[in-house]
Amino acid sequence: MPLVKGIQQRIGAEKLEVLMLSVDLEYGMPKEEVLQGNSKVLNKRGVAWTNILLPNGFRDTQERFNLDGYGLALIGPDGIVRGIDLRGDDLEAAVRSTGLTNSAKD
Amino acid sequence: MKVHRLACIAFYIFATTACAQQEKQVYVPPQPQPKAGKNEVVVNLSPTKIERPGTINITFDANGHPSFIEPKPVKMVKGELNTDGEDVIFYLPAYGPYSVNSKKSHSFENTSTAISVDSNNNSELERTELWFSSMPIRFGDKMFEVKKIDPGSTWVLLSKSSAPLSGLVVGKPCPPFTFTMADGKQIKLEDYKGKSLLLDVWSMT
Repeated sequence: MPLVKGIQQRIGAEKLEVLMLSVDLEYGMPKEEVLQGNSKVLNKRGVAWTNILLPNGFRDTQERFNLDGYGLALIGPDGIVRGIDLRGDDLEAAVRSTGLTNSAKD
Repeated sequence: MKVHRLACIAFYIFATTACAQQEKQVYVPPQPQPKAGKNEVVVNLSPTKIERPGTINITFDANGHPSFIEPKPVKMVKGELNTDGEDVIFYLPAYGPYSVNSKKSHSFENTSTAISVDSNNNSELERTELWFSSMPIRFGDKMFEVKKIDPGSTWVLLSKSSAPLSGLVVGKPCPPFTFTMADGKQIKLEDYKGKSLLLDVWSMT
């Protein structure tokens, strides 16, 4: 989360958005508890990203995206998938591949 | 629940998935190819030297502590499907028993044969290219269902699926999605048109 936050701050939220897909309901916690817990984590990290509670957890990520674990996937402005299961340098490279550069504000 | 979560965590840490099979390699003679029906296609399979990491076996002792058994690589056979003018190469284990059914869809519980669609044609069967034959599989920009796999590993019968496009494939369009937020607002892929989007699968636990 800190890496993504840093990249987004550098590039600008108007160019790079983040959509959180929470699988916490997978673990049998009540929805209200998950909602509160998720908000608490995101607030603590200082991010205002859209967060979706997936009703069926990983089953939803698998059926929609063929993703069976935690991680990041990048979709370019043209709707093309640029990377899956991205971390560290791979994430930075994938972001660069979309033509995103540092914000003009920097 | 605790044991279940431990198994989940272990799976993601050791995430080199594959279906629960191929421990015993028994020769089974090939069966005659079926005649492809409407919207069906029979794809020939050929031997390769390519291997995929095998099944991870997780066992629990009386106290619920997990033990992991290192997987053995599994030899693969190769198929090639032409869909919309695009040749898509895929791999499945060179030995059965095969199954195209599973009561569970989660990858760590899915008992159907895992198929690797080598979307980037690099002959490296990455975890993100793994699909289960009990669910619709994305070949290029089309979804297919696996109807039958020859127990002798020489062909596979596929049929075009009516399921909506799903699954992320690098270099291919993201399938359309709509999610409903807790406040009832809907979020769609189109909402991000012209912007890059990071999808972050996460949990607070």
